Amino acid sequence: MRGVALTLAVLMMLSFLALVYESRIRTLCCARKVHLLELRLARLYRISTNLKGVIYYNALRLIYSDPDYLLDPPKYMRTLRSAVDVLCSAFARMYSIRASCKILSLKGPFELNDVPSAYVGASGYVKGATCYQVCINLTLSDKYVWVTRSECFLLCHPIRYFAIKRAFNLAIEEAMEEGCCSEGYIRSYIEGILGDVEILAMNVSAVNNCLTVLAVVRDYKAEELGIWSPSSCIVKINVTRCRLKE
Amino acid sequence: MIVRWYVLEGLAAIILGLIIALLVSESRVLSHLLSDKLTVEQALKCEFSARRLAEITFNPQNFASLTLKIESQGSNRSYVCSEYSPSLLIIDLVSNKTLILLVPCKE
Repeated sequence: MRGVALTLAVLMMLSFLALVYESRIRTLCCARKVHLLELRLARLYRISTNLKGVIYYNALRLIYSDPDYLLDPPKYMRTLRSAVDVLCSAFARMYSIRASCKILSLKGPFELNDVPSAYVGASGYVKGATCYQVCINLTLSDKYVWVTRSECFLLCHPIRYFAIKRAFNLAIEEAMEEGCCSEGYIRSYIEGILGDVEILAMNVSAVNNCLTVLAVVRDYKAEELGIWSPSSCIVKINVTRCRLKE
Repeated sequence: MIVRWYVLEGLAAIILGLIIALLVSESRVLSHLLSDKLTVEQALKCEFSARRLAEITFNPQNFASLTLKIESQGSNRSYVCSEYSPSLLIIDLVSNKTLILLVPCKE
């Protein structure tokens, strides 16, 4: 009788031990799955940070490569859309994931005025820089996990397009008041107001009571602040002022 | 000395139990799970360091040097530092160049 009791006790103890190990294995299996999901998420989050950065980099690079993008938002939007598609498909191929990106909005161009310098994208630029704000929405998936992120970038070019345009407006107004519409007058006026710009080419035309000035201007101040090639600090200005008929 | 049957039975049960315990605790499944768990933890650390690096790399203040790095090289370049290496993909559409950086994992 004692033997049977002893045997049963030992068997029960060992079966409890086995149960403990079994539950430990189950926990580890579950923990492993959680860990793997965590890793997938971390991977997708890293890829989304990478993709977001590459989109930001290329969006800014496009503006610097051709300053016309600064003054033509529809053209910039089209180019940016196709660039974003190319980048998303490249990332999808590279990491075997699904990647899609939508451009939610494009605001601008506007003049950088009182944005705090600590704001990413604005630091390094002074007042008067020309900026866009782009908001994008990224969705990445590897069939198991999804990552969705919305981000807004401030894309700035140091060229002072609006300040230069204002100076041209003033110059034309002055010229009209003085009754002097010569190119030399406007040139000296502009260079007097904004000391650090050079007018590379200018065409002045007067039709009826309107004066139109087309000019290509180099902004030397912007060249000092640009993060890329200084040759891109040239901007085209087109200003028309009309005098009211008396 | 006559060995009673219940003593033998008890010994057999103990040995059987020990064998079961040994099989369970030292099974390949368990050791695989344990080692795999460690690898996943290391991989997670790598991912976090890669993300930090991506955030630094894609700060606009670093764009000019990044462009120089991309444009100065003829072909794709990479650094391999550990078995699990998260990579950073840098694409410059203006110069049409791609750079793949395998991020070193610190142990």
